[in-house]
Amino acid sequence: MGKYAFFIWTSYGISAAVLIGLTVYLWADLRKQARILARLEKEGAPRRPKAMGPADDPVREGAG
Amino acid sequence: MFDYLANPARFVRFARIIGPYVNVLTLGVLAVGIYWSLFIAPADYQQGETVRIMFIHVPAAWMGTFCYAYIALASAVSLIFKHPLADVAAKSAAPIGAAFTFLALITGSLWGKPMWGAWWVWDARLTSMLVLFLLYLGYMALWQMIEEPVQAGRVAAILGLVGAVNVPIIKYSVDWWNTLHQPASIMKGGGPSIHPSILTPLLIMIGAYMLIFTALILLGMRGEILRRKVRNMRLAQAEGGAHG
Repeated sequence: MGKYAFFIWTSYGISAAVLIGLTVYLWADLRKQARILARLEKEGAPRRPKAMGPADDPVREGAG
Repeated sequence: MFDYLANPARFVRFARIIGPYVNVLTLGVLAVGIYWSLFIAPADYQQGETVRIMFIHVPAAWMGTFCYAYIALASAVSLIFKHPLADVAAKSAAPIGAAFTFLALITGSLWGKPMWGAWWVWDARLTSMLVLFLLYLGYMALWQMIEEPVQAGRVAAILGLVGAVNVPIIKYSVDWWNTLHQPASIMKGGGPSIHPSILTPLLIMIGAYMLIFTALILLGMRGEILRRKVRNMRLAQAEGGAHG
């Protein structure tokens, strides 16, 4: 790659770092939310506040 | 199919099943694309070896723009049909689009220095891409500022739609203004003006970046749906504590 090696490898290196970093961040966030959800379910927490009917629940099981 | 997946619980189940297949396909196509880009594709007759930067710069720029169009479409669905999964889709696409746009700006700068002699010029294409990056930051900040997800979704959807005016400006900036940036070479009248030996790895890398987007949006949407479930349960738990 001659005299342009620095520019080429830096481009590929930064791209890899950003995309791997984003993947790890999203994966870690998913695992964290899943852990908290499992703990709340174990504690027997209700699925939604009383004031929120099933129709207002943004993640209701039957939405769609 | 769309109607079936518009149910958050069903979507999570679907994403968990297809996620591993998408990941494997992404890694496979990416490996082929990177190897082809770095070791098989010839040097360009004018730009020499720096053409290898194009194989990651162009897909990043396309995906950065595509993600915003995706956010605008999801925002329209959210505002018109008030479907919560549209909000989740729009919110989850923002960090992915911001990352692609950031990479387009950085790799463009690393390509511009040896070819133009400058890291940055305030020309129409570069400036409109910078505006796109700032729009992503503003959009994500808006989601962070408003705690209640339904209300945040409404406000963010308006910004998502208004900001979409920048998408055609990016696309046609090289035609509307005199710019240092080269004009369209793939999506243009009369077909692509790139030699197949360079066009092939470029198209493989564009495919790989689309697969990266698919893998990350599945991951991000699953995380966001769980976060909303957690929020509801915490509110309900706090309510129970207050009443008890």
